[in-house]
Amino acid sequence: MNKPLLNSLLQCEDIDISFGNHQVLNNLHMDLYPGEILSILGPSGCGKTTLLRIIAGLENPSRGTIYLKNQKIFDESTNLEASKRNIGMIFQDYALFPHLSVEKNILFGISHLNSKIQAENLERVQKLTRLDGLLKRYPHELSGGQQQRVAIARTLATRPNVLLMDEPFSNLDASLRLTVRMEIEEILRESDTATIFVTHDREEAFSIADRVAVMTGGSIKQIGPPDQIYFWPNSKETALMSGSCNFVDGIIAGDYVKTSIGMLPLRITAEFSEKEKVQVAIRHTDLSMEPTPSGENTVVRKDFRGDETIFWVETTEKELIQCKHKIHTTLFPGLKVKLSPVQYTKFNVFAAETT
Amino acid sequence: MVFTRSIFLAITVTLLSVVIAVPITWLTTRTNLPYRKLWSVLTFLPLVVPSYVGAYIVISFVGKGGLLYDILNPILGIEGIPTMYGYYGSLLTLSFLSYPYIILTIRSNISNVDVSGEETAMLMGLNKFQTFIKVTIPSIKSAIFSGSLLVALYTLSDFGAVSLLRYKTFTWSIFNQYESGFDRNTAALLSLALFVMATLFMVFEIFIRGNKKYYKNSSNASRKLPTIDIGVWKWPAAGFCALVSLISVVIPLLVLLYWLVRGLYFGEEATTLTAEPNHILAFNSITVSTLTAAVVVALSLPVGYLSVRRPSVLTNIIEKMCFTGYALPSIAVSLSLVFFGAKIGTPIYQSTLLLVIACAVLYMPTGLGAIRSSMIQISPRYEESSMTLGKNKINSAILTNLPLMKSGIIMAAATVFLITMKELPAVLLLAPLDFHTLTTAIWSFTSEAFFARAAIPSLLLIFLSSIPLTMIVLKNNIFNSLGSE
Repeated sequence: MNKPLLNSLLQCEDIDISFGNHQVLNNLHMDLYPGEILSILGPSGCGKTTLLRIIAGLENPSRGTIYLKNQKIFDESTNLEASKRNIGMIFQDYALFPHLSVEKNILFGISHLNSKIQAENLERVQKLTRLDGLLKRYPHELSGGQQQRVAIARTLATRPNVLLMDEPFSNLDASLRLTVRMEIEEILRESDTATIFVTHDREEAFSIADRVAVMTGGSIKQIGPPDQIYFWPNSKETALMSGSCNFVDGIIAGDYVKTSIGMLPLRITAEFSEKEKVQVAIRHTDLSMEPTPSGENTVVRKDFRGDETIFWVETTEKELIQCKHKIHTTLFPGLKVKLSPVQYTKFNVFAAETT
Repeated sequence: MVFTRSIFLAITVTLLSVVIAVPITWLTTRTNLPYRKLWSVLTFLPLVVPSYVGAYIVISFVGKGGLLYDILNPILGIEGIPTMYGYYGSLLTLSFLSYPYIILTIRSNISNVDVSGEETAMLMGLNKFQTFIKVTIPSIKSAIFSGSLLVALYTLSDFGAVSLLRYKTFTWSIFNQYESGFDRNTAALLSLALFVMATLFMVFEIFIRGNKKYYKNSSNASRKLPTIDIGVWKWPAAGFCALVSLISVVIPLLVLLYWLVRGLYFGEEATTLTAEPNHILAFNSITVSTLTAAVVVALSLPVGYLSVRRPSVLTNIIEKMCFTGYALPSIAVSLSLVFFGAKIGTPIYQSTLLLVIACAVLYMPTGLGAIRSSMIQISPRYEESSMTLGKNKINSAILTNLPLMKSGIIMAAATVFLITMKELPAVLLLAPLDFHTLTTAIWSFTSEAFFARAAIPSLLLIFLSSIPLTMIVLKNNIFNSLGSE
């Protein structure tokens, strides 16, 4: 610990910060590799933005060490100021300078360079971000998506070591988000810029990131490729952050876990002993429903959502399980149903909460 | 007793100003009152009239041998016109000059009020009048208190009007003690008492206003306010606005023009008693006001920046100190600088520099207020973006904030210029011996009843002050909310 990892571009160790009595970041560890896109997924107020501000040098942690390209940029005795870190940050509201044209915004960070290099850089980033024809406009004349591309261009013009993006898609219309997301990913890949972006939206976090870091309560709970986060969550919190989830009680029985809806196949068995009480994570799509008079579970609520319908099913143990289903006409509250695991589905279990 | 007189005057002037200002503001911003734009413009104009000019107009219009007497005596044979000297004259003069301060503070509040509150009240069965009283007024209460405080402090520290109207208040006694007897100790003691009184007013205002803030619930600030139809009441309401405009703007201007014409017609020396011609007086006034505005802006920028962006104990103290300036009556500040100049700062005593320092001390709070409020509106993200783009802290602060504060700086400079133009006690007490401004000229003519001679400098002063006022009004987009009519 406290030595830079080989190959890592950015590394945060033991980061602590509090505002007043509220500890926002608590012993946080994180690293980033060259060219990688890392998303930080967490509920609002978990300290994601604060982490970005610390990395950028806009906020000072009370404890911790930060390395950038194997150089120490922050610890008790070192603090490289924000303007010297060459870490770009794109704020949630983009913070384009309203009194400057798009071109002047882009040139802002490279105004000290000679005009030939400035022109080359401008040319490079405007091609990358497709801003042709917009250079003379002012920020208020641009759409949200265009403003964001200008913000990215402005940052990329300085060739930053790392690009930080705070909730990059939250200010955009829902209908635009998907296309903008793909565009941004393309720009980032093309410029080969290591990027950290924070979001509270799991779909965003999964779709364009190489790795996802799940953050709750001021520290990173799990970091890994998106599918790993989804299929092998290491805690109930991560399971909940990575997808909608029901938790029911169970008892370990060999490769299965015994629950009120029957025997469910386990994904991981090693950590638990036989007959140990556990909690089973059940995703909304993990169970199939079959209406049958002999079924022991009752549909208590139906929530039609168009593409899918969510059913609340009460088990014999009075546990409520939400199940997603395409069918909505033949199932309705009051119906008795049989629940069974969808083929090939395996279930994650976690230690039962000690009360 | 001077003590109770000052307080009584301050309170009654404030109440009368509220009674004038609140209905006018509501009528001109929210209702279908006829000629709204005209009334809005007219009711701003008294801001450029200094209190002693107001008093001069009142005396020369209503007083013995005044204009009204000249008109009424031959026609109606009226002999006795009630005298305007004393309390009633002061009340009338100061109220009709200071109500625009309240309009200024409540105007943006009243035109940005959250309509959903009013709509809810209507849905619950309240009529328009009840809604106004129970919903609109409470939602602008804190703005009314702030405006009232301004008026109360303005009245408390006013020297020009009460002296000319011979109403013996605190400021009058301070000046008299100092001028006649050179009893500096009593003058200092009285100044201190005046300062304490002004501070108590401020504390009282904070106490009753509390820390309550009235927030808008709905986020769509741009929603256009529905115009309230006041039906047949629109004619009496327009009459009220017309009456206020007549008393506070039209008659004063006519009176000044009358004295101007009469002075020219009767060949009464329309220039000056003192050595300087009018353009030198104007030049001196402009010089002092411009220098003061420049000093105030230069000092407010760093203080405003630090107090908004890097609040610390020190910047807090500096900021609070600046704001106590509001409670510093100009006569008290001027006297203290006289003492300072006579004892310690002899090299700058009776220099323009000391005069500018005095005005800067007096109007720093006003300038700082304007600078701060424009600073607060600028997102700190611009500065932070600039830092992550490689510019150091100082460059980032200047490059991003300064261009965005342009209108705030113009506002601050224009406001300080405007009020320094009107400043009387500081100029009387601190100006170099042969240095005369428009204000001192008006003062010396009117205190000796040379009404015709005071007309030109008064009109000049009003004209010159209208320029920054127009800038303030345009910058504030005060009339934009009215749309096109």
